Amino acid sequence: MSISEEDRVALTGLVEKIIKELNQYLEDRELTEFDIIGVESTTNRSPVLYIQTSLGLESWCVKHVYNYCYAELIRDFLTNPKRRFSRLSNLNYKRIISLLNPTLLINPDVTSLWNKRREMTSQQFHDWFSEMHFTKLVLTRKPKCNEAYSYRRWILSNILAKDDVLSEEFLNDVIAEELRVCNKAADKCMNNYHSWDHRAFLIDLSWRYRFSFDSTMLYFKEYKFIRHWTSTHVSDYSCFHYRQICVRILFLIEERWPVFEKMIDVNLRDNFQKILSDHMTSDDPVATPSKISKKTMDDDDLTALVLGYPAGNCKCYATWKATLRKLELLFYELISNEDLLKYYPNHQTIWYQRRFVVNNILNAMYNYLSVENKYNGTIKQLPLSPLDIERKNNCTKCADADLTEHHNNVKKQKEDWFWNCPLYKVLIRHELALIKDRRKEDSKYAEAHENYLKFFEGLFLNFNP
Amino acid sequence: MAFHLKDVTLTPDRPTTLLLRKHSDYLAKYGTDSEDFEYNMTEYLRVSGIYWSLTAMELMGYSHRMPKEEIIKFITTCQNKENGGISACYPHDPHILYTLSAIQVLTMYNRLDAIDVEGVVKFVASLQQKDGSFSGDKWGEIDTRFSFCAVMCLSLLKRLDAIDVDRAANFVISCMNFDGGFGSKPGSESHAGLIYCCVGTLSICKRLDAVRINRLAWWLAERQMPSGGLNGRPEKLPDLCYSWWVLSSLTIINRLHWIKKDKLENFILACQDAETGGFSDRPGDIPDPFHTLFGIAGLALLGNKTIKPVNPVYCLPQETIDRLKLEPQMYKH
Repeated sequence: MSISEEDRVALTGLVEKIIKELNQYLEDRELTEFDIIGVESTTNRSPVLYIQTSLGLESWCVKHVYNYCYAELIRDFLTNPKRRFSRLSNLNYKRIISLLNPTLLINPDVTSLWNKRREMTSQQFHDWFSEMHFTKLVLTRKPKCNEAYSYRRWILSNILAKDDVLSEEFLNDVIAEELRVCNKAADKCMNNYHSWDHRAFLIDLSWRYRFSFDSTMLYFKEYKFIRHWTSTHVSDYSCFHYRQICVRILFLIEERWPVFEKMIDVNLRDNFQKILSDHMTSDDPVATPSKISKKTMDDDDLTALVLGYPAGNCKCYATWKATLRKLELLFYELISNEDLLKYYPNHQTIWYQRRFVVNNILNAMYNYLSVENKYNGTIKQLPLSPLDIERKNNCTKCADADLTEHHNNVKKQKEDWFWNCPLYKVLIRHELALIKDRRKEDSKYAEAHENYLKFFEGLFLNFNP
Repeated sequence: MAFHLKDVTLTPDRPTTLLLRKHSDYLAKYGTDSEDFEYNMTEYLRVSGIYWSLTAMELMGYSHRMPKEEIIKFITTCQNKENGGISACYPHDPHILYTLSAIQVLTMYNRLDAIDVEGVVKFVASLQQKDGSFSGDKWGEIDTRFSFCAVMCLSLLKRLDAIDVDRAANFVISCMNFDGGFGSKPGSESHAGLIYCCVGTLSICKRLDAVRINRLAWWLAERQMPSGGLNGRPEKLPDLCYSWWVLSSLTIINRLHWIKKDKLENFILACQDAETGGFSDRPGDIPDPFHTLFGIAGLALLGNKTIKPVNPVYCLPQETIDRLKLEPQMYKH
């Protein structure tokens, strides 16, 4: 459809007016959201709406604004790459930004336009703060837009690379802001892969800067946050996946466990011992219920009791402390997962989370015992790692003994031991009881869980209840 | 509490036969109005749009309805003279996603002479990072999708020697999760689309040994909903494009029989638009070339005889792959 020259001039005037107005409002740092409002025909008032802290654009003008801005950007500022940089002056810069803003608010998937911002930001034509603010607005309308997250990560990496001495306060502020952006995006859109990925990026980032600020406290807080979030988003596997990331980063934390327990208001040890004693029977050779629920048990005694070797073997290379902490957290995850399963039957997401927990419990056991499950009813002893050998060499008990011989001696015992290891039995009994209970209301997924454990974790192969 | 499974219901009046002629009409007409707002909005992925349409047309045996010479000329204008990369449309920035689409199109036409191949090779190789991963362009975003684009592109050009293939494969393997699936980066959530990219990469790099076949196949098979459609992640709605991402992955690891094929076929056919032609993401939605290709290609994998065989790794007609004598690894057991 062609329009008359007169109409074209009128349209140009109108669009220029909209661009100007929109950009003026965008300078307001208090803006919290942008959206396109479904209004199909023109009225006497301006199509740029500004209500409290929200900015809106009426839908009837979107097409005109986009076509106009996009065409000028392509024609004057993206063409001829050699001249691109030389053309950048302060004047041009203002025009480009005023065109990029509406174009990207309307269609934020256009990578080249984000790249234009990157070019200009790296030439310090504008500050990163206003870029972060703009990107945040884009995400309020398109919370799944990976281009916007990618741009935020690019800016963050640049800022952090520039500052030699990063203050604790600065890092805390930056991360807190990113978390707020992620919260909002995850809230607006279920299963938001990119927002949870961005959050995982922050966990990585904070680990890199862990000597510059209190990242441990961040991990504690994130666990507490995600425990609550998952409990209110039970069919959103993306947030459960993030919960897995939080659990795994906690495996690496060695200090301030009591602080963590206080924050989440759980006694992890009590919880662990309760599950153990619930599923121990009096004919378990090593660990009877009364023994296991003893309040005063030391960490290493408890580990040895549920996981350790038969009496008389040296525990010098046992990484018992880290293993015990892992198990306590994972058994809390197990219980926490059950609460959700019981409240919300028929949710594959919650069952998938359980697979993760069981898989990690078993892996913690295999690692501790240096064995590999062959998934055919046999357990293979792994050779000692150089680190284990060093530990053994430094052990007062083992130093004189012939290492290889010692290793061979425990090997046979260990393979038998694994299937009778109290923790292994407890885990199976616990899973079987749960599957039986959930079959009533949630038969499809309860059965799938049993099959998963059988075929992929090899759980029931050598087990006599 | 009432429970609603996230799925769709197939109505009795849905299309149940394959409307090939209609689909070719739809694709032949698509995007011919360059004054259109939609046309402008999708310009940033134009070359990929051409790849979706052309591949679907090739598979249906209607590729003569596409403007061949115009397409080849267009792609020539998309190559960046300085770094050799290809953009979706001049003057957008070159990116590995569109570089791959362009190479796929030119490979189907057997017209790689239309571009500077050595430039493409240099561009792709320049994007590989120390850890073996690939960024999509010079700005550095990393994604397993880009690894797949890189190895697919170079293998079509017979120039895999230009990159460190071992490292490329090892990076992808580092993105494997406990459930056997893969995500976009190490530690990212498993996602059927990214699983296809990662399994495809490992197939081209001949490293399928690293895949936990049954664990992965189980997870993929669990994507099938009662309607027969497949979703890409747990508790999401089925979407036609996963007929490709899930099916191609299952085909590469030789576990296609783990899903109910006839039910999936019903779902795919129900996603056709009987009036305009084309396929949409779910029955009753608006069709687009992207879903049209993956509907057609999905049916091809299911063994539909009226469509040409499709290669599950390259998403190109098998005859193209045979002509190039490419043999991506397929799991045999």
